[in-house]
Amino acid sequence: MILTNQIYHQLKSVIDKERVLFSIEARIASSYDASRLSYLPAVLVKPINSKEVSDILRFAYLNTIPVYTRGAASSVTGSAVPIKGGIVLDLSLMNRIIEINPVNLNATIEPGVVVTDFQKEVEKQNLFYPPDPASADFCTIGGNVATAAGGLRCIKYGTTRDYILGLEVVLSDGRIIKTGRGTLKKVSGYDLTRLFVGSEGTLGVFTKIIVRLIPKPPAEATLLAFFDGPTKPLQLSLTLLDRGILPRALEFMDATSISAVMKYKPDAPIPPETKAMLLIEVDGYPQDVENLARQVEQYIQEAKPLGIIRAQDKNHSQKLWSIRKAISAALFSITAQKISEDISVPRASIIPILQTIKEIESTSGIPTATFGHLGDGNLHINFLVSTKEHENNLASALDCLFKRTIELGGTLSGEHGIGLTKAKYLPLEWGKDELEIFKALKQLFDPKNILNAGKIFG
Amino acid sequence: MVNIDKELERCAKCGQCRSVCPIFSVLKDETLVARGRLAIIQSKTTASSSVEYNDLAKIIDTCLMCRRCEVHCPSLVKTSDVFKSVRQELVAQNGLPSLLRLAFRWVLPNRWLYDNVMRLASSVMRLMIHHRTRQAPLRHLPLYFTNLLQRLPKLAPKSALESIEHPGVTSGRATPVSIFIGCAANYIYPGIIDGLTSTLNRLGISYVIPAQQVCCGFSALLSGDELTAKRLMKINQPLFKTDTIITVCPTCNRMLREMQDTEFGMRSEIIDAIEFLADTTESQISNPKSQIRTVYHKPCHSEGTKAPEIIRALLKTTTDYQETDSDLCCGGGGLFGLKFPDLSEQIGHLRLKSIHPSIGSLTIVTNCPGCMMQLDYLLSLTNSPMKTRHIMNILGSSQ
Repeated sequence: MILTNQIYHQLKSVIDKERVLFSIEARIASSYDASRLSYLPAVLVKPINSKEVSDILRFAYLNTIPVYTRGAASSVTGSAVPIKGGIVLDLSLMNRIIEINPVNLNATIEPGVVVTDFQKEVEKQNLFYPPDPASADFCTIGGNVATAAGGLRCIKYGTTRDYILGLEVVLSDGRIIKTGRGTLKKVSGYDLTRLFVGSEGTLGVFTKIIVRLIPKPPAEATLLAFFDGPTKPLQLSLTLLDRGILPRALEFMDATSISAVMKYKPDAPIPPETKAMLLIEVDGYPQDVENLARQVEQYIQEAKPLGIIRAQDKNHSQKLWSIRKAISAALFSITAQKISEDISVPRASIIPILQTIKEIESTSGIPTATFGHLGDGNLHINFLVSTKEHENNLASALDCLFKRTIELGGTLSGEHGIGLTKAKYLPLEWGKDELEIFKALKQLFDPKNILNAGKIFG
Repeated sequence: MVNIDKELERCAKCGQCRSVCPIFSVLKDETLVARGRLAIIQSKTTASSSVEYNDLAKIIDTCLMCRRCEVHCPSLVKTSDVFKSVRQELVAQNGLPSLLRLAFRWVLPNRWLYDNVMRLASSVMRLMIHHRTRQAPLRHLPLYFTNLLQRLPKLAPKSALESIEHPGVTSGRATPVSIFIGCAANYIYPGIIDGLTSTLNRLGISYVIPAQQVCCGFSALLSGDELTAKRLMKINQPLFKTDTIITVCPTCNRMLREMQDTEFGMRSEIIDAIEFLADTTESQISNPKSQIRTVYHKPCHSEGTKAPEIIRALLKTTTDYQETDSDLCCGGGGLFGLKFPDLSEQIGHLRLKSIHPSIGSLTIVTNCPGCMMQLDYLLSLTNSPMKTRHIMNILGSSQ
């Protein structure tokens, strides 16, 4: 086994030594992600192009050194944590937007581009890149591809998976391959692009990403409705789709989330007796949006809400969204620790899974806050752990949640991924045969198991 | 007193600070963004003494103390308190650099000495530097001094405190307000104070300007010199006797407000001049619409106050106002610009670029003399036709 300082000295001959970092400070700053797990790597490298990534991987492959690719490290599952030490490959400097092509409706970008920065650039040309995870202001496209990131507009526009046309990928031995060609349609060979999307850094390192763009919808309308309990809004969300309305966002917030937000943002215009909220956004041409918004408003009225607010303009809309977006932060302010799960169930199973969550809450004694994307069945269930007893009961509560999710036809993760924290639950969702295929694919792309070693399969 | 360990523990490692940190926007270096800095500080507290943290001082120094990370932190970590306390610890261990020590301990607390040092500096600069081109005519100066001199702004011939003929005299309404001037407005932009006093006169509001007031102490405190900060507060405290104190610099404002609960803090209400004017005068505080084209530069230390909103609304109704893309930092940061000139310039150029490079005769309006110093310096480098104005200059010129 090669020694840590040998890795450092040899890497300095592979790429510019200014970008090979060995100090304790640099290693600490690449040891963690938003899961708050932390493991020190041997060394941090910051490549600036595909060739450097390839050279680094070839070196790592020859010496069998684990490599952990890192973007903004905003993963909540430990996907970015260097659990076996080795090399952290920080792609923050590979952040060029290479091309935005309005005719071909696509763009070629590097993995370190921050999602919001990219969205702002394409919107200047009246184009639209819809995936918008809550962390869009700082997470990177590379990380979004690696975790097939979802977001708030999934019900109408899909997730990151639906916008990746092709990739340039460096394989574990340093070979550089291309998947997809920037065309919308492609039936030529296997669809490697979709295999890489959501692979959490275990199959290869993305160095260029070709994304699909669509024309920007010229108008949108945002409505926020308040209810005395969850039943009416849940029913309403089903009704809207039954009646042919496809909103671009359909967000639900439960009583615990709301009371946390009311404490955190006392000026938020929420009626005091509110126990559930629904945030609905529709988009399209201005006249259509107006008609749609009126219809939505009428359906909400029929559900007898405590109140409705319709955004008057963009600024007002942002204010309404800020209520939804404040939940995570608000929950942090009422609990010492919050364990956030992101199961996804078929829409028909939303009501049963919420029932299960209630049961888990009463048996485990751990308070929960649930909010999320009602439109696509992806719910954020937060266990608010603040006592020793909560900590002791957490494992069985999670077990119970995941088992029921799978029974109801759902999945362990809608958008966060498996990483480290959910690895042990993988066999709940997948049988022996599927897991064998997963492992065979991993073996094919990464025979020495150096890429994000220790993730997904534990 | 903030419990540092608790603050460190509170960081959820989410990464939000990466989206707002001016230093990170330029360097993309995780060790120089709040999340990384906090993790490094936390690990140092538990690390064995054999591990060498050679970069720690630099990591703590290269923070603008703009506080954007703190304002946007979902977990409400008091980052600036953590960094301030680590700086104090480092100073306690290693002492202050001698030049800073001299300036903080001797010059800042002494109004007379401060005035004379600035006067001397002003003459030296006139001798050494051509202000239009910012080239030093004396080519034999060591490079370090040339750079330093180029960055220093041109001093006003007479400071604000020296120009005020009757600083203690009141006029108009019976209960006066006190004006806290601050160093940058005093020595570099005394016109700001003229603008403020003429607006107060016009509105019939009486005021006092304590002539013996000294620096607020922010730079000293942030450099880890709590002793000087306390001395300055002790001098200022008895001079400000009115119920209300108004400021023209958001950094002084923040410093004075944050120190209110401490032993030598001022007990009166401390408010930004523009907020005060908007609160007390229900009618228009400004003039009919002028044709000047303006953008607004929001100082980092105004984040979370009402001042930016008030100024934007005012500029919209009284000038040809344009919204800019974003509220980036100017990169000034007081002493930061002198310590890390390259970094400061890179951040500043990003700011100017976001204002719109193609706009010619544009006035950048702000409410911070510190930002004005930095922006004026950057504009002078490129001979830009844009200029900066304090909101008090805009109000003052409207009679």
